[in-house]
Amino acid sequence: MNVPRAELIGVTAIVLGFVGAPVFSHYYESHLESRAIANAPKSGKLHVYHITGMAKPGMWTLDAVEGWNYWWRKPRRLSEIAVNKGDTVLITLESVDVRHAFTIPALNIGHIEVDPGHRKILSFVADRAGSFPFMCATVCSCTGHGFACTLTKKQGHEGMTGILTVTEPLGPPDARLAVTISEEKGFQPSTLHVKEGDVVELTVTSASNGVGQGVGFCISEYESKVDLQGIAKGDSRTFKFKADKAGSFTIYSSTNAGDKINAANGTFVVSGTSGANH
Amino acid sequence: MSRSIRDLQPQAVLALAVAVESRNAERYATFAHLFSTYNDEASRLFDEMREEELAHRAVLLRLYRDRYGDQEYPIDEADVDEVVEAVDLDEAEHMVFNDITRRHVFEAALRAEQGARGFYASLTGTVQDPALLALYRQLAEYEEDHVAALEARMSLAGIESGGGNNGHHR
Amino acid sequence: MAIIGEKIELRVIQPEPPHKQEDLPGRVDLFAKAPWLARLVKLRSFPAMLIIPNLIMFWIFLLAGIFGSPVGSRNIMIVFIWILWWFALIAVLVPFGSRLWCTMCPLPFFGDWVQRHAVVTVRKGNSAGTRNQLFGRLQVWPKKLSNIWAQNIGFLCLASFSAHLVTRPMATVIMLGSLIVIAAGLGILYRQRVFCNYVCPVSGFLSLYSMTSTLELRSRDKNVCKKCTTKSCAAGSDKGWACPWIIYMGQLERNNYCGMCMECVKSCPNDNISLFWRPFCSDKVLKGYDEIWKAFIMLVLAMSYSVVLLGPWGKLKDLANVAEVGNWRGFFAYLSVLWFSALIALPAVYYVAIRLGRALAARRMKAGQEGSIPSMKDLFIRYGYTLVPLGLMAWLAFSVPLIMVSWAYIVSVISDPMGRGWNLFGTANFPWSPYHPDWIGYIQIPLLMMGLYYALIRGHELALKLWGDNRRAVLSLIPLAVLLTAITIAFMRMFTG
Repeated sequence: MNVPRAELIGVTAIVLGFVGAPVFSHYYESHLESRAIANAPKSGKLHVYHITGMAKPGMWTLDAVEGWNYWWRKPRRLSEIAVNKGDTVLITLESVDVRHAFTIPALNIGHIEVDPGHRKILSFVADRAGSFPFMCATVCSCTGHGFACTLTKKQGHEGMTGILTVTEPLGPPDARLAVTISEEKGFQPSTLHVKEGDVVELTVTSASNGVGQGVGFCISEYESKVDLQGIAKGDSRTFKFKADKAGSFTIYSSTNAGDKINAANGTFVVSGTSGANH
Repeated sequence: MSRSIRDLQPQAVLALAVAVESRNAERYATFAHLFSTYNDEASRLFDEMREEELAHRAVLLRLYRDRYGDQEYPIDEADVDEVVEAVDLDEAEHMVFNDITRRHVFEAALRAEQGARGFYASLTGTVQDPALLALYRQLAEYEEDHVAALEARMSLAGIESGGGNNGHHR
Repeated sequence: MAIIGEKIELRVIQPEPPHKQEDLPGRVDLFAKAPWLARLVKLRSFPAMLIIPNLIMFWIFLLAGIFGSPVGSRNIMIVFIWILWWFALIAVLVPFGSRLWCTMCPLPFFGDWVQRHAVVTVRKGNSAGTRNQLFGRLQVWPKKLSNIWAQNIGFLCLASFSAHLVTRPMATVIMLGSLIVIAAGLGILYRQRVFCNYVCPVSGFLSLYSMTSTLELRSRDKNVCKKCTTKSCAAGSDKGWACPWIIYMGQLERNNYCGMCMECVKSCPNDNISLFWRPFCSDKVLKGYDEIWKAFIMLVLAMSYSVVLLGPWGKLKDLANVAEVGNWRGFFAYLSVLWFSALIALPAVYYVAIRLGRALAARRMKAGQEGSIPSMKDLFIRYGYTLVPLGLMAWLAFSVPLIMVSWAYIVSVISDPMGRGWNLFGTANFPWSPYHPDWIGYIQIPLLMMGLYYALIRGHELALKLWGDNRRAVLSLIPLAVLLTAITIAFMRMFTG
């Protein structure tokens, strides 16, 4: 088939444009991420999180919220970021509606203002073990976004919280435990047994809304390792820690979770040679 | 276009009149083709008009041959400035609005014939040469016959001449 | 008013126009003045050289709309289309370039390709009444739909969701994506640019306001066209495609349906087609109810857009913004008012003004002259042209604050087209900084005054032709002039608070 040269040039230009645009987009984004990684501190394992703030329904999420799914989105709330002590955390922050401000007060991070459609990058080394709440530090609003911003409701701001859990790198667990919290039955099981020196992997799941920000889960004298300030119904949180203190310790809810849960205190028993009793 | 019909000799004028009818037939054929997908009736009418023009051409050609034999005179309507007879649409947007009717076709043909009649008639007042004057008169009469024949046909079809709308149809 | 859909016969009292376009007032033959322009336009690669980059841009916009930030002001889909393109269209392309946008529009690309199997070259042949080889079903668009009513209703539908279209990239993706699919589908089924002529909502807008443009594509000498036997502009040739807009250039007297694809410039065997510069508002003939209703709709929409998108009434904005606010009852109330105003209220008020004017002028007629009183239909349609310059200037006045307030978004999205943290040219974080917002009112008022001036001046010219007497012409115009002035004042109050 004899195709004129001009025709070939035209068709080639179209095909190149159609293929080139998404390919360029992909490679440019990869390049941006590589650069951000190169600029991040070098320590331990690198954890990259793309976090998007949404005033409606009020959450930080790891799910991409883009043009195509904006109206049909069902994003999942980001309630926990779990890393090991000494790891590097690289967070890209975006907003899809109004100005948000990301902060982790306990680690003196932020607040970092994130305007809708802009992206901020934050990186740090998680050098302290513990659970650190992150949140939005501003009342989400539309100020300064001109005609294209139509969201004017101050809504959802209060829900934009989560926990950054930094744990000591402990190796594989010796004991895996799971606890469910419900208003009817309190902590299930209510007593947990481990041996002194065990590396414990403890998963806490909430079956109760509790009051306020959900129910809590704390173990006395192990608060630096297991201190869950709030967990919403259906969410789970996993703690990994070394049971380095023998004895019998109280499990309690640190939040105002309602009488039944507050009353249904559990016990965390660490059996050891000394057999100390608390 | 380089010269006026007024500068032509009788043989050239007659040869031109033959050429004009040929070209007009071509225009009708073009319009018939152009509207063939929009309005069969209009397209057919354009085609019939083409045949009419060829018949007119044949009459004029006979006249030419009677006077000048088989000697051809190389002239075409593009060689003179004036428009002698040229069928044209009254509206650029007929196909856009798909609103061509047989009335439009008849009126286009009538305008062309009337234009030719008026043109030849106007020339009779401008020449002294008796041979040319006679030829112009004869051509004007021919065109008068064409106009009359067309008006009769329009009347048969129930269309009054002069009832057009100056191109604003909708 | 049971006049929609009726045919009218318009009487035109005017001398035969000159057959040479340059003999018309204020015409400048641009191809003669700038032969390079003629050479450019005659290239077979024109307008593909404009359409292909636009098509690729369009593709990038669609990608950005789908995968980019849903924040309108940070997405090139919204910023380039509804701020830059819209302003360029209204402020530059339409008033100074007629339908030059249609020359480069990528929407009909796939439809054209289906019919031509070519992007650049032309193919001689004999199909569908043309002298080109065309492909596809090549059916003729139904006669009943051969008007711009579909465009009118389409534009109203789009305008009903304007609050979403101009803020949410995905809404614009859906709209433009649908248009390109519809254009391709119609290209497969029907011959030529059916989509552009009868369906595309933007085309309807351009069709009306291109009448004001200072640019026109016309035959240089109508006598040359008369003598032409091939009518290649309409039928096509081995040099150019048959007019995709199905126009015959030999009698073209207005810009409305000429998409300026320039195929006729290439196909004309007599080199008789040229671009002409001309005075503002030179086309003065509206021909049908579909066209005048377009003028009503556009004027009402200019007002409604100004109120909803620029006005200080947050509640109204909420009513229009149903997808974000969810107030469906309020949204339907807003829709009802919008559609009623555009389709019934303004036409009714205009009708009363025309009727009153006719009665005023008719009183000056002597006995026996009644027969020369223009019919209501003539007056209703012909005077409708007055709404054209006024409407265009109202749209321009509406668009001025868009560009002056939001221009900085253009600078920033050039570097970050998808709002995904890119910074291609270092301008991604260019701050939002309105350009002299205090000047906006001072720009809008002269624009509106200019619209009113042209409406009245051209209205007077039309009235003179219709009535043949200055006194009657002026009398017939008085109620309409009052209405046009009232509309202008309403816009001024709206814009200046």
